[in-house]
Amino acid sequence: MLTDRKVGIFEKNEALFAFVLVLPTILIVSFQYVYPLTYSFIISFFRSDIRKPGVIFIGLKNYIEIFHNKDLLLSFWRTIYFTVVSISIEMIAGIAIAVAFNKSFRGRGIARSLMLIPWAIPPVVNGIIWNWMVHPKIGVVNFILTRLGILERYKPWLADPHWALNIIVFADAWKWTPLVVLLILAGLQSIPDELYDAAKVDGAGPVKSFFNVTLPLLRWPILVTLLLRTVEAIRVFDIIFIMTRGGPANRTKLTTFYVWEVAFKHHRMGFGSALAYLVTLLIIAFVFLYFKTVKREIEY
Amino acid sequence: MALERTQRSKVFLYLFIIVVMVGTLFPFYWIINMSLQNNIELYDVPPHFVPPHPTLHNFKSVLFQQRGTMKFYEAVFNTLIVSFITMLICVFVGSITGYALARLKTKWGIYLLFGLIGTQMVPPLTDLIPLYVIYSRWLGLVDTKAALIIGYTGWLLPISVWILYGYFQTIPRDLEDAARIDGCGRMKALFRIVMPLSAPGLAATAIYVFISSTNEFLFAMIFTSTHRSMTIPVALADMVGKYQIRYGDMTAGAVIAAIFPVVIALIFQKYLVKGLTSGSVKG
Repeated sequence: MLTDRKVGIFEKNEALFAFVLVLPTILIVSFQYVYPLTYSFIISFFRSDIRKPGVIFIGLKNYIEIFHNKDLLLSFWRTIYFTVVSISIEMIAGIAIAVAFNKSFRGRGIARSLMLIPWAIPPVVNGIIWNWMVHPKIGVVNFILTRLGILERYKPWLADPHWALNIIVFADAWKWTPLVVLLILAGLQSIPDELYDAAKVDGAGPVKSFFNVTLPLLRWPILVTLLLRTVEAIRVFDIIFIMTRGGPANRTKLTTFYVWEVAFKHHRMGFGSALAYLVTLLIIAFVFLYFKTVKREIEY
Repeated sequence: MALERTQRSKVFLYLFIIVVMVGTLFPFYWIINMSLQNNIELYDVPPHFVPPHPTLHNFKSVLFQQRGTMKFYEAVFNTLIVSFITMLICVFVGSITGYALARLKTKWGIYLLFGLIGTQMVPPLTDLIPLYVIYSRWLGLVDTKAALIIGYTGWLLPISVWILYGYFQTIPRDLEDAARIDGCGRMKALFRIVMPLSAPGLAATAIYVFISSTNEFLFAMIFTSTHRSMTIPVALADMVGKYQIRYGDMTAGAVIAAIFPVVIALIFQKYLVKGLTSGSVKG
């Protein structure tokens, strides 16, 4: 009887039915995001420090302190470097591999499935794998490079200030390029063959038809991929924690690593929150840049 | 001449594919290779490209040896329990919300959808600082599996809704409408007609959520500390940088950590690829 009445209400009121169905999500998301983000925004204007008593309103002092700290400012540049370089590698390699995987060849199905492996590997394991690969004494990378004569003697890659961050970029690109391949490949498969035939009739070679037919039609998949990867790259943490813990000489300390250090090692929650909000701003800046570029492209 | 050219490009294609596949698989092969060598062979220079005397000794040693407050196999159990429950919640809650947003007419649906995407732009650390305060001081949830399940659900639910929203849009309306005309209520139509039709989408979401929570590290590192709740990635990270650790144990631990997500991804790759790419192809 009761259920009948309920069904009656839902039949008449579609919006009410929709609201009942989304209510659990709204509650969970509010608990996990809305309240905490408000809290951390407010606390970023307070001194909340385990070494000093009380929680005191200090206005913009946390933010000002960040801009006076040379190493923190440097960490923002490192974050931008990491993001731009790793995503450039992932996008260029990813698009090239996707174009190749869109052609027919033997074992294509298996090759595509195996592509999922790096994506599925936990980031912590990714870090451990590359730790061993570039190990100064038993690393296979050192072995192969010296054998090929590219390297004179074994190199402690992760202890070298000039190489450490680039090795992490490379390890990150190894893990995430497959995702780019999958996303771009799905976009490629939705392009009808007739378009290529038409380009061929018009006398366009493979290179020309790639830039004039394929790339413009991939605009949406590329944008989605860029957004996904940028958000992930700016907040990278796991792999740095495993591979270098920020060393050598802070060369691999990206901003999120500082946030963790400040908030959870030094227990300065207010300062950590302020820093985390600046990282959020950085993400918003990238997203804004992408949308502006895409909008200009469409206007042409 | 023309034939020669296509043949040459074919050779080039195969060469490129081979290089890509070797690059993709070699690092994973290497850790498996290391995990099957004993602790003396591991230090050999030059390194062995194939284990000279393959042994599972490292796996036995890493799983059952006491390390700090725990044994590694306890972390394996914790990870599987947390991931499984998170998966159930995300698929259930995500599907009813995804259905409502895809099918029912509301004025606010689109705002909710964009709000959910917006949550994914926030770096987790912005969120983790206040959550730590809430979980530790108010709820007393530190070092419990419940903390991980709640946290992962909050993190993965928006993505689940997004994947399922995309999937429900591809399902034809006719069957549902027919059932409704026959006097089937909305609730019944959802659970009896729409859900079974959406099994592939539900599977894709389930796998995505399971793999993501199995692999998560930062949240687990901050919220867990003992055998009660520590997950595989945290237990593994604990071994890194400790000098007394045997290399063989760490490589075996890494292989165990990778085996669940990799095997699941390969078995269900069809659903997974569809789910991952559903939102990216069309606007």
